[in-house]
Amino acid sequence: MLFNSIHFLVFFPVVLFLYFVLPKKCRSIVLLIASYYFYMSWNPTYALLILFSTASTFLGGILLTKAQEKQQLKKAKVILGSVIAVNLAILFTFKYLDFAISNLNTVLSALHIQIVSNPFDFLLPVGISFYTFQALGYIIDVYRKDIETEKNFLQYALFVSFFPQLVAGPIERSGNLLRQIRNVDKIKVSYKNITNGLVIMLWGFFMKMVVADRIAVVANYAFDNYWKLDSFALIVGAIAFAIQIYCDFASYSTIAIGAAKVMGFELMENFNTPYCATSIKDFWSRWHISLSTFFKDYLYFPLGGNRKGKKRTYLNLFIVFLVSGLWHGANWTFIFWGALHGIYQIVGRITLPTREKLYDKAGIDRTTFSFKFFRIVFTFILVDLAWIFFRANTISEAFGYISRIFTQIDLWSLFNGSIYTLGLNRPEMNLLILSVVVLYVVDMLRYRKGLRLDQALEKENIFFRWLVIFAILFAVIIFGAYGVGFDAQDFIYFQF
Amino acid sequence: MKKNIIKTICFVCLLAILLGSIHAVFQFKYSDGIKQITQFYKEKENSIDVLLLGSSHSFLNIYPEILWRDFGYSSFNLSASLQPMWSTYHYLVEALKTQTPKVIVLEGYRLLEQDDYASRGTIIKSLYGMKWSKNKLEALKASTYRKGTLDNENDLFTSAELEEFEQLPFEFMNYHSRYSELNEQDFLPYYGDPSYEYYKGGMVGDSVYDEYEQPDIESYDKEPIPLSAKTEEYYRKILELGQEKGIPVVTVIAPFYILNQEYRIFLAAEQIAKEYGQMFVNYNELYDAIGLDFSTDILDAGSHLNRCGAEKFTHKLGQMLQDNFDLTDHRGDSRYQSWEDGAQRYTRAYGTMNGLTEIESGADYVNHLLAEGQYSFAVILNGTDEGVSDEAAAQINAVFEAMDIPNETICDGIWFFENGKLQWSNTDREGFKKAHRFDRYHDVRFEYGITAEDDESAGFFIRNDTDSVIACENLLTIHAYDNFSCIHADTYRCDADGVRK
Repeated sequence: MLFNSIHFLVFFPVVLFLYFVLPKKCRSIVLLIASYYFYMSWNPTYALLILFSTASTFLGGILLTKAQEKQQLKKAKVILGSVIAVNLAILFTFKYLDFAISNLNTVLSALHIQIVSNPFDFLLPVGISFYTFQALGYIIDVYRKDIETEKNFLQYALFVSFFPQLVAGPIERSGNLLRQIRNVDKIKVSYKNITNGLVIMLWGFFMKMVVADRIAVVANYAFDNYWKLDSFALIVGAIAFAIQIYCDFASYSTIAIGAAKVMGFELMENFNTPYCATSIKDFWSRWHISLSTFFKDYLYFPLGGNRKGKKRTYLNLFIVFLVSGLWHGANWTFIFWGALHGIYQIVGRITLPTREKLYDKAGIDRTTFSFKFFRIVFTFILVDLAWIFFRANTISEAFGYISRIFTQIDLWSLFNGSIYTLGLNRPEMNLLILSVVVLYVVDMLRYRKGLRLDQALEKENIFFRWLVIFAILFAVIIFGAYGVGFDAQDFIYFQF
Repeated sequence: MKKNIIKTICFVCLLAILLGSIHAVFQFKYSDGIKQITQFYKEKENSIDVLLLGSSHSFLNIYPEILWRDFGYSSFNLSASLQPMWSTYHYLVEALKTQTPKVIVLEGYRLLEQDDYASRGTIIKSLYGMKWSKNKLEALKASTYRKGTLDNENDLFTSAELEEFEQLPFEFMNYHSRYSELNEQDFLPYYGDPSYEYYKGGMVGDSVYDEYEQPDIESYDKEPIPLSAKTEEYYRKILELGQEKGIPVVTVIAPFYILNQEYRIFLAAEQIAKEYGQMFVNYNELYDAIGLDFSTDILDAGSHLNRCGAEKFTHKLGQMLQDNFDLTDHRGDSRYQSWEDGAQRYTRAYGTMNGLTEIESGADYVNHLLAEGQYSFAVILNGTDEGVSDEAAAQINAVFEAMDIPNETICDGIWFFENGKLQWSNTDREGFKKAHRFDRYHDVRFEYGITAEDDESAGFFIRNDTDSVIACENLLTIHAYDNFSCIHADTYRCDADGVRK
């Protein structure tokens, strides 16, 4: 079920009620049943898949620990390897087989060989990319002895399927979430956690229903009609998409974090004002943090990280981002996007000494606000250019989009109100701009003061707090994209 | 701990209040459905003697004001646009909760209904005004379909997209997006128009649509065609409910541009009514008796009746009720004051009722307006610059005498009266602009300038609060407003020949 649905608005209070009212030792069962119910509301049969991933990693953990205890290190490695392989194979089959086969067919038909057909025709199981990684992270942690092997199947199953973050993250680590699940009966019902958690969820709904779903109209318009739009419209469209994907994705994590907090769990932060990044490297420490740290810990470091020389570092970086791109979807556009980010970072590293020299020579003071501002803007431009590849239907469309930005410059469109012709009429566009300003203010609180919305409000007195909460709540109720006249824009990351 | 509980309770209370206000503002306020039932709930219990049901053929064609004015019957027109029989049945159930009418008049146009389910707009107009109750839920269910409850979804006979039940009970989901179209109606009591205090569900249309020729009923094939199963089921339910409560149900068919096919379906309906021993009158068989004229009495392409036609038809209907039922004439009874006020307002709002349209001379017209009081009017002279004939001058002088204004030279100008007294005048013309406010929400503006782009000559023109522009091109124009209802009552126009246009 989607977070922004009546189903969830009924489901969540019911679960909360049972969670708080029933005896503490029932908590994990309640949450586990709720989580499987939550997952099965998407597609009941696919629960078997998540169950399989859960069981295989659970069993694998126990077996390889036993092997390690008996000093059968090679056996342990084999167990680890096969569990990883099996789970990745499932992921591959359901998510990438189609893509692989169609590419294979392109090659085969070029060589005039009979093309292969896809024996399976599956709907993509929701959240498979997330929970698979979460489960694999656990077994690798067990192998590395970073966490004690879980012997309680129910608790482990809850770790893999915990409903707030099940479908689109944050990708949790055993060290964080599993540890909290093990202590679930010690969690105290806290008024503060409940109210703050609800505020966080409310902010997530605002990001999704007021900003993301509305700005999607503009982005879709620009990308669907790029071949006839001028530079200004295309730039607006690209910025719109940047905001859309940020709000859409971050809102899910935000609601997940809020929901978990209400129940007394602390999930990891997944987004930290990403568009305030001063470099691509910085961007990745602020965007989809759970994924980038996952890749850092489980792919980059095993590959050698930066410990094997410059060239190997660059290669490792490139591989990690290529895989990251691929993780996002089975399409060349995603792979290209990932590769682009890899190249950004490699080029950035290579040119760093030269750039430093240039700045010194030109007498540019790098501690000033203006320099930082320049870096932020430049980074955003790089990121947004990459987003164009992410969003476009094909790579050639992306190039078409970008080339038109440079070739179809028409300064008059800055002044002729054309911004009101990009899919949203005047009142809607004004509303959108206003909501983006609100978004900016809240993100600035985080960037400048390190405060999340609930933390910032805690410091103010009750009248102001309630005023802000009611304002956001009614903004969502009145201006939210739901009901008649709006198609519920599914969270973008649900195809992952 | 205690503090937290108090905070939570306060928060929830505040939230409920705010949600309630938002609901009141955003809820739909359609004039062809929602307003009828919303205002119906405000009627005193057991005060309605004649309950009028049906679709737009009911609220546009049957005026409760006329039933009161001519017969003293207290009636209410509880209908909605395109309302299917099943919704009408639930309306009847709802009405009987608070009223015990002596007669139920069902305008049966929707007996023609062939669909099994209604479109979203129709459902909203019919049902969103109802108060929440078991009856409302059942009404919603009857109009919508629920997935998996039908054997052969593909065979459903429906021309509208099927509406799923799930989408509709959560009304807010359907109207929260109205934020861009909110206007004064949504915020003010009585929709910003005090006359809603004595509104009885009827809607008056004043245009004339003359494209239809009177159907030749005599030549029609008279073989009955059965009603659709669902419509017949609910028609019978209505008749049975009336029987159960001991209230006669008269089915009438208002005059409209009726086709042979439709006539035959009504014949089948008549047979059903006879089964229950109830009256059925198809007024399409009685055009002459009503005195209906298709070239002047039809309102629009949907062949509803305009004011001319509706007055005739309603009067005939009232006579039928008088002849067949023992209804009380409540005129003079102060408990029914709202009907009296409503009829008064109706009378004043439409010039014919006050005899305004029959007055031939300008001077008489002015005298009449001054004598009646409660009128605001503007006297406008136009085109006197080139001089006027003696005939015209005499006419104009007579008007000035009636206005009680010392007569100097005749020139173009505008004189505005309110409640019998001259409020202001202007003969300078150039750049003239003045507005007159009736109340907070109604005004009329008088301006001098060029009205049409291709028109060289300047003149006075009038802008109603609906922003429609009326040019005053005749020599003499007298534009009258009824202060009681703040609407335009009538306009007198004539040129140099003194003949009223």
